[in-house]
Amino acid sequence: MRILAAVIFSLALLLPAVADAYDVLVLQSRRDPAFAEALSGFRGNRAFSERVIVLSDYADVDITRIVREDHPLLVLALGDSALEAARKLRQTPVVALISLGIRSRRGSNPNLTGIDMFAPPERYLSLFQGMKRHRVGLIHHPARSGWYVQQARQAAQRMGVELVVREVSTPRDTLSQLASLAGKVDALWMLPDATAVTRETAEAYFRFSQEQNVPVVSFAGAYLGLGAAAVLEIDRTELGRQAADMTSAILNGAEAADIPLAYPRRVLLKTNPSVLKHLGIATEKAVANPRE
Amino acid sequence: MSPRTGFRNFRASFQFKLFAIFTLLTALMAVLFGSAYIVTEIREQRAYAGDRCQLIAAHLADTIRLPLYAENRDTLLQIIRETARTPDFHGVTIRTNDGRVLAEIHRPVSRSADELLSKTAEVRSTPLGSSPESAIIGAKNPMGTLIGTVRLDLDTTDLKARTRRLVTAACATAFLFWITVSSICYLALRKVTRSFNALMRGLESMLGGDYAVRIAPAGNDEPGRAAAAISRLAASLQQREEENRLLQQKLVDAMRLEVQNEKTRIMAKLIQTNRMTSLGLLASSMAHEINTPNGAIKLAGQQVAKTWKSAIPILDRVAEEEGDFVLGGAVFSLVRDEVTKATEVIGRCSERIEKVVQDLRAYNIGGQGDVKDRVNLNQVVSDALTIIRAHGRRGNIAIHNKPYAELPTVIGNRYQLEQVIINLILNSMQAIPEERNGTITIASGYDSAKREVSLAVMDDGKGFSAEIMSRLMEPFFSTRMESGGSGLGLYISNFIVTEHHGLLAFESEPGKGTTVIITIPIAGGGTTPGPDDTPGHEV
Repeated sequence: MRILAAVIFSLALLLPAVADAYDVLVLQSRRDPAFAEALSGFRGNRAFSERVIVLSDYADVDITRIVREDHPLLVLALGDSALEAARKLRQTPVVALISLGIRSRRGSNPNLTGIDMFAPPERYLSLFQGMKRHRVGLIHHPARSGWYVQQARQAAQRMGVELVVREVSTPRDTLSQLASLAGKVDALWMLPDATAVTRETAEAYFRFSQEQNVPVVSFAGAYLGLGAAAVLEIDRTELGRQAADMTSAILNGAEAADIPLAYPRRVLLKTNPSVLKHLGIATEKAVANPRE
Repeated sequence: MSPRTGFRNFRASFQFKLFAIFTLLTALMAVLFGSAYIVTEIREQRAYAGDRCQLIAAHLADTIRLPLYAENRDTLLQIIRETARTPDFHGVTIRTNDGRVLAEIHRPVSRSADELLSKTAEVRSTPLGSSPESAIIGAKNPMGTLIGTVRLDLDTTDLKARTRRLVTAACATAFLFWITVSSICYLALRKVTRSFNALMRGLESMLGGDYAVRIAPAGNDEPGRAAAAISRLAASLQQREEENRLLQQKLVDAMRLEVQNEKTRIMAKLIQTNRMTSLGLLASSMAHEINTPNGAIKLAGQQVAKTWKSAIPILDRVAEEEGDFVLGGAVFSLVRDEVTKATEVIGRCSERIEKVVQDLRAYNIGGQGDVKDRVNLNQVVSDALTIIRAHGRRGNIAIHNKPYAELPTVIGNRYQLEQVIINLILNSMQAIPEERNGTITIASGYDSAKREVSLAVMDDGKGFSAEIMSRLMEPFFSTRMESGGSGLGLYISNFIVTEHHGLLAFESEPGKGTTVIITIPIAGGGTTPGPDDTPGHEV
């Protein structure tokens, strides 16, 4: 009898564990439509079993313990907070989305892969070409986006566009570096660099644009309202699908370390016709190749 | 009218009261509206100044956002120097969010805290600005991050000067409004109260007695119609006054005539009274003159009777002895009784003369007015009739005396009561026409219930009307004034009876005679007839 009771109890303990088994642990920084959009793309027509944890719903979440207990096959990190929470994971592969720090963590986390928030530099450069702009100013923090600027320089050289690059180490430097670009550029390229672009300094780009009569090409639709002439915005649903492909590959046996960080597969060109008109840029030329 | 009185009248006038009410109301309105305007305007100015200061500070905060973030002091100073051109600028201080002052400018003029309007604005990053991550995920933060603060001080001395100018202008406007409205009110009231003033002037003239004044109507309003009505009333009063004056004149003339007639009558009465007094004196004198020879006659008669009485036996014996003889032209047997009767007649007539004279004297003297005693009215009537007899009967008037047996006495003056009865009998006699026979009845009586005696003097004379009867007690009223009546008889009689606590009453009708009734309370002692009770008799 005692043996039977022990068996029943053990089964009862095991049943929840069986029920909680899943493939993907989704770490979502906060409840936001952008993350939901990417997650919907991630789910798409794939049938990953998943558990979703919204970090902003908890004061403190020990992801390492959850992963140790749940043994998910993969962790999908949405946002910088999620990526930060998953930094201690060494065994479980992590796919990161919608985060600017993926590349900086890639070196210390070989199990980390994901999709950058940078559109391919060629897309930007072709846009500048469409606008007939050949001297493009660019401000960045080398530690954050130096790799991208490097690729951009190479692409610009191929495409015959001169990049006037200014480096900053603190956000306050942005203003002075912007001032140093006055009269030297005919377009301004705003990178998703958390040092070069902050809430305080974002305005300075568009003031510069207004004062110097040069277009600003940015990376998010939110800046169109501030005066950006055009933006190359990442399609978040497609971003989710791209992450699902990576997940499938990893779940099918590929190593995360072998999967390089990728550019977003699909970016959307959005323009501010009024700004373009003020700057004397024909809209049809600017949007000659709006989608890729 | 003195200026003081004129001012007092003006102050009490309808026009002044209305003007005062309008003026005070206008002043009150001007003060209220002026005060409300000033208060509202001052609040508006202060709010405007506060909003303006806040707006400048906010604008400055917006302008310095980037230089402040970059901590570019030169740019900040350049920007706030532009702001310092604001007319009422006093100072500006820019601080970082950790409290460090990056830029500061102040005017050299020292101002107290009360003279400054200070506003502090936060310098925040633009709400539209986003970090790359936020921009990528589309997150929005309505509040920008705090970069620093800017404090702006504006000088309010100009604002206070403007407030003073505003108060002065508002007061002046209110005063002008008050003066203008009061002036218009005064002119309007003058026009409106013109009818009242004309009415009051007319009424004051009429109050002075000048009813010839006619109030010219100043309009067809209520006072105008009242003025017309008062003018008609004044005309009517003037007519009545003239009529009254004429009637008064007639009355005065009539009174003068009446006074003259009365004076004539009084003089006649005085003459009559004087004559009566003279007659009284004459009667006294005559009584004295008659008493003396009458005493001699009486003594002589007594002597003759005594002598004759003693001579009769002698003469009887002579007649028996010598036979009847002639004595004094007649035979003794006839003379004997005739002489005896003659002596008796002499004595009786002498006593009668003495009695008449005594009564005449007593009547003339008026009796001892203060002497009061128990008096039997029957005796008084008897004494009065004696005097009446001495006065002599007129024509053929029969006087019947019907005394009440055992008539109680009264307390009084017999001579005065006798005078009353004589007056009443004489009046009755005079009321009977001379050309016919007449009867006077005197009857006494006693009412034991009322404990009073009465005496009625009734005649069948002419009688008199009720109008005359109502005046019988008046002094100097007489129906025989032309024939020597004094008009004092009944007046004195009534006085005497009243003095005896009695009443004098008349019953008369024209042509049916007159009855005069005297009632006097009996004496408190008893009902015993007086010692001088006299049986009834005819005269």
